[in-house]
Amino acid sequence: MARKQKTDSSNSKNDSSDIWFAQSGKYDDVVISTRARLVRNLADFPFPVKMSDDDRRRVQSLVYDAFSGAEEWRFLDLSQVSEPGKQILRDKNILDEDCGAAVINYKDESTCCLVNGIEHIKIISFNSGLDCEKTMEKVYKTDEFLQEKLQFAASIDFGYLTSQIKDCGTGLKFSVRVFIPSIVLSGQFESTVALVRSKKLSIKPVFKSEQIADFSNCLFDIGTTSCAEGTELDQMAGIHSVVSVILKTERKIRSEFADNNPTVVLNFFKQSWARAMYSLLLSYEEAVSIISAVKWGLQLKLIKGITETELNSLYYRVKDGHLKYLCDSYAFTFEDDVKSSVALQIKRLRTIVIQQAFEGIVNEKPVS
Amino acid sequence: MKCCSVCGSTFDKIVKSQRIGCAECYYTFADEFRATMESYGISGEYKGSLPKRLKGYRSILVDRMTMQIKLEEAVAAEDYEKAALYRDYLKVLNHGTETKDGQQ
Repeated sequence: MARKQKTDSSNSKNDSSDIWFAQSGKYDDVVISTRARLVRNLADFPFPVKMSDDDRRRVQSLVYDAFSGAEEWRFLDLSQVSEPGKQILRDKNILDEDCGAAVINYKDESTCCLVNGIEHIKIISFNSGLDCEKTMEKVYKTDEFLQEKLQFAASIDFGYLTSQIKDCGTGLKFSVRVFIPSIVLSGQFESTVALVRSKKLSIKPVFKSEQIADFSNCLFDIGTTSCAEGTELDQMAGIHSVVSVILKTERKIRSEFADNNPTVVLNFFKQSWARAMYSLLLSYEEAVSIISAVKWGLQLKLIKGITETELNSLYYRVKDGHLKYLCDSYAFTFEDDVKSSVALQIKRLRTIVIQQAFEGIVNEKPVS
Repeated sequence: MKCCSVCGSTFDKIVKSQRIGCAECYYTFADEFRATMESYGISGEYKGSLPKRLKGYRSILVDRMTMQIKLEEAVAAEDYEKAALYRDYLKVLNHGTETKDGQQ
């Protein structure tokens, strides 16, 4: 049996409660997180696809200088970062493309800036729950700070100029991650897709699982598709408005669906609960499905003893990079057959993290 | 064939690679880029923010009038979530000018 240690540590630098995803957010029963990203290119350099190595070094150095002296920012030259280190950045959605460097606000890691990716600069900001305004405010605060020292390429006709035509304009895009099991299971997903598309937004599943009762099927990213239409405020108001409608619909359907299908609901929940408590090795997708089912169980008042915020944070805590970090940092004792494989150790540890997180859960309704 | 004088990109190469080479490409291929954006359903002039060195031509008055129109449009479309946001921003803009007037 693997020796259990407390596994509630989100990374090496911060206390887990400081990280943005461990904080509570508005409407976090339905909206897991809000992300905004802003892209910019320096005025006096070719865009990344045409840059020489020397240009690359100079751009990186100019961004480094722009941030130097700024408190709470840490500059990472990614050529010096190990693969497990990069995996942690990917898991936190900080690193979502190949680039030369990352500058991270280490206070709560909710804002970062990638350098020399598809564009010279990509500022990303996150918030728990639905908060487009605050998330937008954070990327623009960083943009304003950088504009004191750097000159960005722009024209009155096209706005900020970017490597990809769809990004020129404001350079701003939003993405909101929603959890909508009631809409999916009640068969009302198509009307949600129609609403999203009618407002020129996109909707993409976070995972693609074949199993119908797999709750990872109920997580979606809703995003803006164009940076050139309207002002920043229009773009923000557009996605906020659509997500607010989806939020209300999910909440409305949730109680109706549970009242009309008590056995079906209980079956979904019990299956997931059994997988959580009796498994020894869980993949990330399985873990997401379990966490999502428990989240739904909490919303339907089948259980208590855990919060939406704890469950939302668990989505990040069971990712590969964080678990690998735990394996490397603490002396876990694994079963002999698990010891030999890092992949198995991660799956084993993921199961323990979930079981520990669920220790305090009690059933509100009899589920036996 | 038209070619960007700074980075040497041609429009064909940009289409193929889906990457624009430099800021000058936007002037060289302005018509082609406009047509591409229209094919994505994006038309009309750019209305968003600009770097400080370019944005002087827009005034707070224009911002307020634009916001008022947006608010009315959202109310007419019964999109009250959107209308609430525009109303809050309009309040901020109005408050900004009132403070300025007060100071004067």
